[in-house]
This record gives sequence, structure tokens and C-alpha cells, in this order.
Amino acid sequence: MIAMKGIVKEFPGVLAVDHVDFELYPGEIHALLGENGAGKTTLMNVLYGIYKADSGETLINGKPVRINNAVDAQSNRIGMVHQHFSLIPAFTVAENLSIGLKDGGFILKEEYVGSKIKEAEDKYGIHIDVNRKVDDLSIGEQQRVEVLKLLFRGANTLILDEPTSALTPQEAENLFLSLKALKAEGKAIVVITHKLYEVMEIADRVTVLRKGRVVFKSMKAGVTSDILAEAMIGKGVELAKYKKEEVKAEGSLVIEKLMVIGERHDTLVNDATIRLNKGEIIGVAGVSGNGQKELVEALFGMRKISAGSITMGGKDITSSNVKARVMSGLGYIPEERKTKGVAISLSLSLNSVIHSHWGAPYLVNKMFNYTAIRKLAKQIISKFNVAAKSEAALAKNLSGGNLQKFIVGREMLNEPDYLIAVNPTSGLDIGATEYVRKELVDYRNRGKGVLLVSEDLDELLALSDQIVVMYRGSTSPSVNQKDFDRLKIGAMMLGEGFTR
Amino acid sequence: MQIGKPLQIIFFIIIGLIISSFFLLASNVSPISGILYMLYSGFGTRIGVIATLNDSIPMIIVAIAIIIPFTAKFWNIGGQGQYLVGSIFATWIGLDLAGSMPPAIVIMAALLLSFVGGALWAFPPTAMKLYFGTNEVITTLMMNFVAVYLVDYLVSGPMEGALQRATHAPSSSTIPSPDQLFYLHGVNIGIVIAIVIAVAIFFLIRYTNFGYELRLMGNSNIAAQYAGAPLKRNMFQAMLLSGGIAGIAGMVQVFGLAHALLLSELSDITTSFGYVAIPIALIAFLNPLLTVISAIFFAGILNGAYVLEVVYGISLNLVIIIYGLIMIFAIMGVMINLNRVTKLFRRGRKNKLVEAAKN
Repeated sequence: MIAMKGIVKEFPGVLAVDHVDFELYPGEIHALLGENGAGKTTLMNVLYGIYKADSGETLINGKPVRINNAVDAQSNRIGMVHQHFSLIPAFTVAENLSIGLKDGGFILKEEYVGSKIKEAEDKYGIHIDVNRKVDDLSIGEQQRVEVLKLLFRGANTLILDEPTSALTPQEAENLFLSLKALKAEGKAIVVITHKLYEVMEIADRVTVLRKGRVVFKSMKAGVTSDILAEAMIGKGVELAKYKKEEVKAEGSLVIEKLMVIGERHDTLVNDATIRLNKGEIIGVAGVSGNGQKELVEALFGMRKISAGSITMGGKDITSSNVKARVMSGLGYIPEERKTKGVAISLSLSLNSVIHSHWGAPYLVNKMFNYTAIRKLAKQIISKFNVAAKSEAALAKNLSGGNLQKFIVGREMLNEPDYLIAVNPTSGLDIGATEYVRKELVDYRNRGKGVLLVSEDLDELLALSDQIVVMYRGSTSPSVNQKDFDRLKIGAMMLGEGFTR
Repeated sequence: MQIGKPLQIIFFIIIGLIISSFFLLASNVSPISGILYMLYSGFGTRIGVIATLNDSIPMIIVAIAIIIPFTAKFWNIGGQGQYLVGSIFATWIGLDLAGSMPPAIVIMAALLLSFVGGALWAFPPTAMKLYFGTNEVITTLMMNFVAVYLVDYLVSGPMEGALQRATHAPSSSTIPSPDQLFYLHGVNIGIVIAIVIAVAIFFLIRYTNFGYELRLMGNSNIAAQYAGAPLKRNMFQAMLLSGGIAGIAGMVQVFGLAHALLLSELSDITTSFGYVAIPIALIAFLNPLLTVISAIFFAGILNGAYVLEVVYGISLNLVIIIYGLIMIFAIMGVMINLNRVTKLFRRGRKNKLVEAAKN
């Protein structure tokens, strides 16, 4: 039995795990439930030795243990399958499974691996062809290899981080069967998830985390999904009220039946339809990974659109490039502020003209006018309270909050008719968060349209005029502000009302 | 670029000189007088300065050429091949038009053709990178070898010229003297071409949208795409421009300095401008104007080292070793982040303290 007691893990600015107690018994499947950023993965990474807890201890069968890295975890027979697999694509399944394997001799050992696999297949129903290259396997198959890897290394505690997020329903079903077989053999299994139906289907015990704390803990028997949903998303905090004014403005941005197909021929955005009017904030809710990122990239011209159309103020921009879209009035505050929103090792001056560097007053006779550019940077810094030494400071020397203010300022000073903002307050402190939210509402009040994509439901409820939920690439009909209902939208985020 | 960096580079160059001293000592040459004499011969005498400036011309041009894609973190290692193909095209048109056209026309045609030749050589690796994802470092490098053997084949076959009969070294015919680039006080006028290119590319990178987008791309392709830069088109333009300018270096070499296309063996490591250009550009922080200084510095070191060979009788290989050492250490001066190094040492000490405390 594994017990974690009083675990605390703090990252700069965020208390990711806050005095959490967690118990895991052999022969059970324990679901660790919570929203994005609730601290589920962090807690398990502490158990697996990737992070070191700031305080608290881990006991195995009553004895305190120190797990400082994956090797320690392995010697304590703990294994973890991360969301991003750690397989070597160019190797075959057998070769991947042999890495780090102590039994079976120094040189490989395909026969040995083969016999072990046969065993696993008989016992747990995990099928895999050992001679195929990992590169050629589907996500579901790769996951099976990851699970086998743990079993081969003798793990009797298995941690799976969002194991079904990339699986087809059929593959997920097979995984659940295997997990049940493993459980029957006495293995302890943790499934990190934010999907309620999974918990209801396989878990024996549930722990719900919210904002780093345990808010609910019980055996599954007797628990309903409504109780879990409420525990997971909470009653909601009272947010500051934002003054919204009645705005009269003509024009809208219409996304109609948009389809985006990924590189693996998977449908990332499926028939998404959103209508954003000027003078309105439309919130896009959804658990991350349900196509919001791809929708926004397609909307901004950074991703190929397979079908559907986008019109802006009546003008079709479906096949326009980024430049043309920006010039006809689109702005974008990306979530990845350090890798996308700015060129991190260039100065603020040079970063201030992104999206306005195509014309006067910054480009005159095809030549950059550095006086005007510096003036713009200074204007952004002073108007949006960016704490920076000067406009010559490098973007990488700014804190996350100040960088975000800079990007918000740059995009707003460019005066786009429609502004996309993706998780604009994630990782910011309270002061910066309030600032950015207020700016977004002010921007709306000036008669502009804002498409606010956020994983923070409270933020969406506080700022939006309408909310659209995305689930598995599809969009829900929009919900009007007067019909906002935390629990109802929370349930939609988890798939209610969508065809599964 | 921090203020401390140039000092750091000088510091590392001095380390390079100290290590070179051991090689000088081993050849019974006093290191101090040897090194001073080397610097003096490269930069101190009239003859030395003239030779240094002349040698620096192709180095400057090729280094500027590779700066363009390097700014976008696209690694054109093919400067050498582009330079050679540029010189093939220039030689061919030069010999073909000789006598039938006025020199100004011949020179303009050679400049244009050498640009086309270099750009042509840069095209296949770029296209392969953009459409099939091949690694440009490898493909541009491989193209160099093709170019080297192409030159060797041409000078001992189709373009074999009169010069070969006189020197027994395979080479093309000589570019007739009216068409050659002239010398002014001993310095070839090609230096003007080099400086004009340096200034032009400086402006291109600092003051145009294209240069701005290359800088964004050098930072992050995602950020550049977000900013609306057409990545593929920019890459193509940067590479073709780069190849073309490297090709012009070939024209200047043929019309100004060598006056004929020579067997590649005669252009050993010290004249493989395409490769030397890489450290020269890096040491100049990819700044086209600083590149002029950096190229002149290395040309001077090389010349000085050659004089050591003559005056002190040390072996030519040793000369090249010294040249190489100075270059390696200069590069280290650019690349090494001293802050990080000292932090590493401090962390090591801290760990030891923690260990000690535990025990």
C-alpha cells in the first residue's frame, strides 16, 4: 500500500499541490480526477520521482521511502505512462521493450521478450506485434507498449496519465479490459483523468483535486457523476463584476462548418460553427485538447482548413494568409506567449511591430523607421503598465505577466475589429489577471468583437456574452448569458449533449 | 551582444596564442617574438596589409552570403560549393566574351552569371529541405563535394587552358588583362564590391521587412508564422540570395586575384573560403559590418603565419595549426557563456558543501 502524506509542491507563482494526502491499495483502480491544472499530474510526478515535494512524505507499506528519480521509482516497483510517450520511434517493439531490461542476458533477447509478450497477451489481453517499428504503430498500440514496458520492469503500481485522451473508443475499451485484468492480479493502478464516464466505468476509488487540494475522496460505490462533477468544477468563486455596456456595432466574424484534419488524418476540428458579433465577447469553453487550439490556428491562417468557411465583415478570408487576415482586421493573443507571441530574444521595439510592420508609419519606402517603432514600443509600455527597463529590453527579460500585458497592448493598439485571446490569464498573478480581463471587456465596450478561448470556466462566465462549448472538435450551440449555468456548461465540457 | 563579449573573444584568442606558443617552442622558435612577428607581418607592414586586404576579399563576400540564411537559423554550409560554381560560371562567360565585348560588359555579365551559378547550387538543398525535410547542413555540405570535382573535371577537360601548359597545374585559360578587376595601390578593387555587399546586406537585415522576418524566423518559426512571415518563400529567397552572393565571391576571385579557374587541390584548406566564412560570420555575431573586420583579422593572421614559415622555417602544417587554433578559440569566445560556466562551478561547490553537511 502506498500512502502520500501532506504533499506540497510549489512552482514559481503557483501552489500546484497543497497538502495532499493520497492512498493507493493493491488490487484497485484509483481515479485521480480534476480539471486541467488541478495538480493531478504534478502529484503523480512527485510519486514517480520526477518532482521533489517541498514537504510531505511517501510511505510504502508503512515505511517512508525517498523517490528522487525514475530509477528509484522503478526499484520501488512504481511505473508511469506519461501523456507523451517515451518510446524510440525508430526501434521495433521488441527493441524498445528490451531497453533497461535486466533479465534475459546482455545481448538481445528477442526470444525472451517474445515469450514474455505471449505471457502478457494471455494474462491481460494486450496484443502487439513485437517486430513492428514503434513509428508505424497507432497511439493505442504505442500505449500498450508503454504499459508492457512497465510490466516487464516489474512494476506493480501503474500510473497512467490521461490514458484515453488520444484513443478511439474501441481502443479505450480494450485498455480498460486490460487494466481490469491487471487489477485482478493485485496491481495497484492510478488513472489520471478529467473524464467522468471513465471514472464511473473502471474506478474502485476516486480522489478529486481542485486547485491543488483534495476536495473529495471516496470509494466509487454510491457516488454519482453529478457529485463528482460538482466536486471537480466547484461552486465557483465570486468574480469581480465587469461593467459591460450596450454596444451598437455592425459586422460579424462567422466561422461556418469548419473542418481541420491533422497530419495523422484525424479530425481535429469537426463542423465548428461560431458567430462573433462586434461589441460582444464569445467564450469558447472546453477541456484542453478538444480542438480549441486547432480552431484558433485555422482561424488565424496558421493551419490548413479542410472544409467550411470563415467570413469577416462579409469578406471571405478562408484562404487568406496571416498577413491578409491581420490587415483586414483580425488580432490574436496566443496562449504560448514566449514561443509564439514574441520573438523572445529580440528587443521589445522589434516585437512591438509584429502585425503592423507592413506599412506606415513603421515601414516607409520599404525601409524600417526605427524612430516610429521605438515610439510604438514606448506607447505600449506606458499605456499597458508593462514593467520593462526600456523599449530596448529583450522580451526574454520580462516576467510572464508583463510579457502578456505587452502582447495584449500590441494587439489592441493595432485596433483589430475581432480579437482572439487564448487563455489570456493562465499563469498570471491576480493583479495581472484582473488587468487583462478588464482590458478585454473595455475592448468589447469599444465596439470590437472578442473571441475568448479559455479553460477557466469562471473567467468565461464572468466575461462572456455568449458561451460555445467545444468537445472533440465540435462546437455546441451558443448559450446566452442569461442561461449561464456552471454545472450545465461543466457537463457540456465533459461531453453532455455531444454525440460520442 | 553584451559589452563583455568582445573582451571575452580577445581573451580566448590570447589563450589560442598561448597554446600556439607550445608548437612554436617545439620548432625552436621563441613564442613571443614569433607571435609578434606574425602579427607584425600580417598587419604592420605595407606589403602585409595589402596582402591581408586582398586575401580578405572572398572571405568577406562568402561570410556575408551565409549570414543571410544563418540569421533565420538556416544553416547554409554550402558556401564553398556556391563559390566554386560561381567561379565556373564567371570564368566561362569571361573567356567566352573576351575580346568581343568591352571589359565593362564582360565584368557585368560575369557578376550576373556568377550570381546565377551560386544561386543554382543553393537551390537543390533548399528545395529538398522545404519539400522533403532533409537536413540542410548535410545536403549543402554534400553539394560542396560535387562542386569541387566539377571544377577538377572542367579544368582538366573541357575548360583546360593555356595556363596548364605553362605551369603543369590543371587550370583554365587566363582571363585577359583588360577584363580583370584592377588594383589600386596594390589592393584589388574587389574590396569595393565586398564592402558594397556588406553594407547592402546590413541594410537588408536591419531595415527591410524581409530582414525583419528572417530575424523572427531565427528566433522561432512559430513566432515568425504568427507574425505573418511566409516561411517557405523567405527561406527560398534567403538561400538563393546567399548562394548568389557566394557565387559573386567566385567571380571576384577569378577576375581579381587568381585570373583563372584552378584545380581545387590548389585551393587547400586555407583558401576554402566557404568553410572559413562560417567562423568568420559567427565571430562577427552575424553582423555584416563586423564581418568585414573579422575577415580582415583572419586574413592577417593567415598571412602572418605564412611569413613565419618563410622567416623561421617552421612547417606549413604548423602554420595552419596556429591559424586553426586561433579560429577555434575565437569561436569559443563567442559561443561560451561565461556566466553559465561560473554558475556550473559554483553549483559543483555547493553540491560538495551539501554533501559535506550531510556527512
